[in-house]
This record gives sequence, C-alpha cells and structure tokens, in this order.
Amino acid sequence: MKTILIVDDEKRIRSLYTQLFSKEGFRVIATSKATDANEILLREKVDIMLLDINMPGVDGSELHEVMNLFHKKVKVIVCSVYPLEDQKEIVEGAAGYYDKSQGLRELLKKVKAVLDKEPQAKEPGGADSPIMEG
Amino acid sequence: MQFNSIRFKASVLYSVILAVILTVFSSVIYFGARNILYHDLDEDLKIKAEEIAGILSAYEQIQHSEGYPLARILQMLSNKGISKNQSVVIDDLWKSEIKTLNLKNDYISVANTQGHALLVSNNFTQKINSLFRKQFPSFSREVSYKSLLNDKFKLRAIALPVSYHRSQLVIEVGTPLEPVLKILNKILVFIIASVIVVLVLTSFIGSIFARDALKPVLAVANLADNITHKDLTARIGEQQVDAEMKHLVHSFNGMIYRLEQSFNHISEFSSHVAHELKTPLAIIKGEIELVLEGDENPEEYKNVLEKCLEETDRTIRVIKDILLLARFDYKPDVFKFEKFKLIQFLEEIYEHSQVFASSKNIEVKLDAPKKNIFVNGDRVHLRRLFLNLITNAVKFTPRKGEIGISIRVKDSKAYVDISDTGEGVSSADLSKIFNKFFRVRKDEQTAEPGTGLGLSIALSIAKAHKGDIKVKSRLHEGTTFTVILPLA
Ligand SMILES: Nc1ncnc2c1ncn2[C@@H]1O[C@H](COP(=O)(O)OP(=O)(O)OP(=O)(O)O)[C@@H](O)[C@H]1O
Ligand SMILES: [Mg+2]
Repeated sequence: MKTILIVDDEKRIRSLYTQLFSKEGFRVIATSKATDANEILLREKVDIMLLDINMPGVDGSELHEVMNLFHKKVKVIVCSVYPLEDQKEIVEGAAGYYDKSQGLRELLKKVKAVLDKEPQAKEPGGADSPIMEG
Repeated sequence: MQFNSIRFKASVLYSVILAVILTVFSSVIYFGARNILYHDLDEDLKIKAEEIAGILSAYEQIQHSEGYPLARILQMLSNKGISKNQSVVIDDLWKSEIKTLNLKNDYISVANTQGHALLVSNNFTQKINSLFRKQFPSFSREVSYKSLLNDKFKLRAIALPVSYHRSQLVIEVGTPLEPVLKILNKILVFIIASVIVVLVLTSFIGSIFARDALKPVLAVANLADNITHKDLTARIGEQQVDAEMKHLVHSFNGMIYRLEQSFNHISEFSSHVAHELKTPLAIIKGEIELVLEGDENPEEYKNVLEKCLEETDRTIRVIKDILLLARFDYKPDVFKFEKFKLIQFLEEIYEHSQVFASSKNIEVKLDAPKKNIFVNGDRVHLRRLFLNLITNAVKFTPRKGEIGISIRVKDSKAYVDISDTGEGVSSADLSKIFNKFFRVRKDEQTAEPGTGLGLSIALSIAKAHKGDIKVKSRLHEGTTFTVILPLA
C-alpha cells in the first residue's frame, strides 16, 4: 500500500483528495501546513506528496528549502490553481505539476506516472535527477 | 528641421540676438574709426593751414624789407606780375612748402572776411569755390572743419581765420576725403562680411546646441513610444540631463513608476481573484468526477450536490465582494452621504447582531454615551462596515464569549470599538488581515467559509468617509477593532 501526503490549506480540497485516494487504495495523510509535513515525514514512510503552493505572498526560497528537504525521501507533485508554467517557475525540480482545475482523473494519472517511474529513479546517479512532466 | 520646431525657433532667436549685438558693436567700431580718421585729417589740415599762415607771414617779411603791402604781393602773385627774383623766391618757398606739406592735391584759398578769394591754388576752380562758399558762408572767428561733398568732389576742409596786417583773412584748405573713405569702406566691408559669417556659424551651432538640449525630450518621447503594459520597468537616466529637463524626466519617471505600481497591483489582484474563483470550481469539478466514477447511493449524490451548491454560493459571494470593492475604488459616487445620529444607528446594529450572536451563545454589550453624535455618511455602507466587523467577532469567538460595542468622542472624531474575547490574531498576521483574500486559517469550522474580503471592504468604506480602522489583538485573548469616523 502506497502512502500519500496531502499538504493543502483548503480543508475542502483536502477532504476531496482524501476521498479520491482512499478509494484508490492509498493510505492518506492530510495536513494544512508545509511545516507540519516535515514532522510527518520524519515519522511516516511517505511515497508521494501533493504540495499546494499558495502563490500570492509565497516565499519561494522557503518553499524551495522544504522541497529540497523532501526531495530525497519523497516524490513531490506541486499542486495549485495556477497555470503549470507559473508553478514551474516558482518551484523548480518537482516530480510533477498539477493544476487543480484539471480534474481528479488527471491528478490520478500524474500520481501514478510519478510512482511508476520510481524504480528508475533509484538507479545509481538517477536518484537526484527529477522527473519532469509536461 | 521644421519651421515650427523649438530647435528652429531657438536658433533663429540666437541669431537675432547676436545680430543686434553685432550691429551695435560694429557701429561703435565703424564710427569710432571714422572719428579717429577724421580727427587725424583735421589735425593735418590745421597744420597745413598754419603753415600757409606761416608762408604769408614770410611774404609779410618780404613786404617789410621791400616795402610792398600785402595786397600788392597778393595781386602780384595772382597776376604773376612780380619781379623775377622775388617771384622766384616766393615760388620756391611756395613750391617747397607744397612739397613738404604735401599740398599738391589740396585746394587752397586765402579769402577776406567778405569771402572774396584773394589767393587760390591752381586747382581752385569756380566750382570748388562755390562748394567752399556753401559750407563756409560767412566769416567766423573760430576754426571750423567741414566735409564738402557733392557728386564730383569729396573733401574735408578747414577754415582758419588769421589776422594779417590789421585785417582779417581766412585760410581755407580742402583735402580729398577719398583715402579716408576708402579705409572706412574697407572696414565696413570687413565688418559686414564677418557679421554674416558669425551669424551663419552661430545659427548653425545654435541649432546643434538646441538639438543637444532637446535630446532628453526626444528620449522621453522614444521611451514613451516603447512603453506598454507588458514592460513598465523602463526609465530615463536622470544623471546627464540639464536641470529643467531633469524636472520633466523626473515627473515622467514618476508617472511610469505609479503606472507600474498600479499595474502590478492589478495583476496581483487578478491573480488572487483567479485563485479564489478557481478553487471552488476545482472542488465542484472534483466532487462531480468522484461521484460519477462510483455507483453511489442517492444520499451520496445529494451530499455532493449540496457541496456544489455551497461552492457555487461561495463563488458568487467572491464575485459580489470583488465588484463591491472595485466600485468603492473607482466610483466614489456610490456613497450617498447624509447626516445622521451615530448612537441611534449603532443601537440598531447592536439589536441586529444580538440575533445572530445568540446562536453561538455569545453576549453582545453596547456602551454608548447618552448624547447626540452626528456623523456624515452613507448608512447602507456604514452598516455593512460594522456588520462585517461584528460577523468576524462572532465567527472568531468561541461559544459563550463576549462582544462589546463602545463609542467615544475625541478631537471631533467618533471612535467605535468592536471588541471580542475570541481567538485573537498573532502579531505577524495582524499586519495582513486587511489584505484582500487573507485569512489566518482556511479551515474554519463555520458553515460558510469566508472569502477574506470582509475587512478590505470595511476599510474601503471607512476611508471613503475620511476615517480609518485600527486593530489591536492578543492571541487567545481577543481582538479590538476601532472604527474612526469624523463628526459632522
Ligand atoms: N475578530 C477577529 N478575531 C480573530 N481573527 C479575526 C477577526 N477578524 C478578522 N480576523 C482574521 O482576519 C481574517 C480576514 O478577515 P475578513 O473579514 O477579511 O475575512 P473573512 O472573515 O475570513 O471572510 P469574509 O468576511 O470575506 O467572509 C479572518 O480570516 C481572520 O483570520
Ligand atoms: Mg469577515
């Protein structure tokens, strides 16, 4: 069973995604703050993380630090309502980018694609190179 | 270069000013030179006339030794009827004087007081005589200098009265003006030529200067041409331009700066708005997708539809609030001001808020002085302002809390405090709560999650009344908002 960590400050989004991934057979952990996520990562084995970036007033460097921290342990899909190009500009090197208005089917596809690529990523030298998505 | 350009006008102005200055300057030089030359000529004439007077006194000596009266000598001279050796002596004397005095080209006459010529040089013709008479019509005891001009002769002449043997004579010497006029003509030609050269040069240089001075204007124009909403970062360098231009450039840069600010503000705001509108839509879409995937029971469908309705309401509320804010910002005439009693107005709000606070078992208290306080304002919008603050107080205060409304007057301003015993705001967040869409927590448990526009709207309304809203808060203890309104 894969574990997914959802980091989003909108409760309604969290409950929606929790529903979706529970149905798909994931173990779901949800939290409202990126800083809480760090603690959870220390305790739990997490395979993939959905990270909401709230762009206005977001501190890009802070987010990047958190990203780097998570990077080695867990695949991160950046997840917000902003266009993908904008997301890539703000947070580089995520495993995937998702626009919330793309729908749940698309989200599931992206999560699965990232998880499927995991074995390759564990090959020597490949661990640090992120898998980019279009 | 165009004729209506500043550059053209500037260079014409330069040239005209310079032309006036040069004309005055060269007139001074020309007439100065003329004076000096005439003065020299007059000095020469005087020397000549005095020498002639000397010769006459030499004749007088001859007369004394030989016993001839002057008239006789003169007569002899004119008739050439004197004795040979005498005439030789006189002739020699005369000729040598003419040579040493350089009198060959001069017109000489010795006349009596009636203007009758007693003795003249050979070239002293009738025409010359009438010319002299015109200028020296009557006898004068003073030395006088005149220019004798007609179409044929141009002379400078002196009339020197001398007393001779108990009678008065006038020695007149006229000398050609041509050499002096030639020099003056040359000076004139030289001056005119150099004035023309200088004027041409200055108009040329002036136009170059003007172009240089106007360069910043062109730079401003070029920059203005290139400015679009896509790039407002361009600025004109303020270092190298002249003081007057600095002002223009500075104002221009200031204008772009303000434009840039408001464009940034608008684009940030619309990005906010997009976020706030896309989130509910993403949720609606997700919920629908989720329920369509499975084979849910009718209860589940109803649940999803209720969630969708909630999100739709939320979207509508965001749009309404945004439109309201836009109207406050860009259409100040939405406010209909009238004078009313503030206490009475707040009592109504107090009664209304008791109703919705009671659902959370929260007590509302009003502390108002018993006097008439008048305020000039829009009651509808001020009501919205106070209800927004009281709704917040209710929303962020746990059950059985307290909300207080109190009114003070100080410095012809009304201070209305809305305080609660709620969760409070940390000092880090306190500076942001008036920002649009800002909410400390987005997972409030209330039935309707906020949009984060309530305080922005309240502040806009207060500002439209030339008032303000201040806030003080302690985490977990409570918050006090103070609305400041000027009295009517
Ligand atoms: N009385 C209060 N006590 C504690 N926090 C408050 C109080 N008033 C406002 N806040 C904080 O400021 C934020 C912004 O308030 P604002 O009224 O602008 O938005 P909102 O109440 O969340 O939504 P809306 O009023 O648009 O429905 C709130 O989300 C809350 O975190
Ligand atoms: Mg509010």
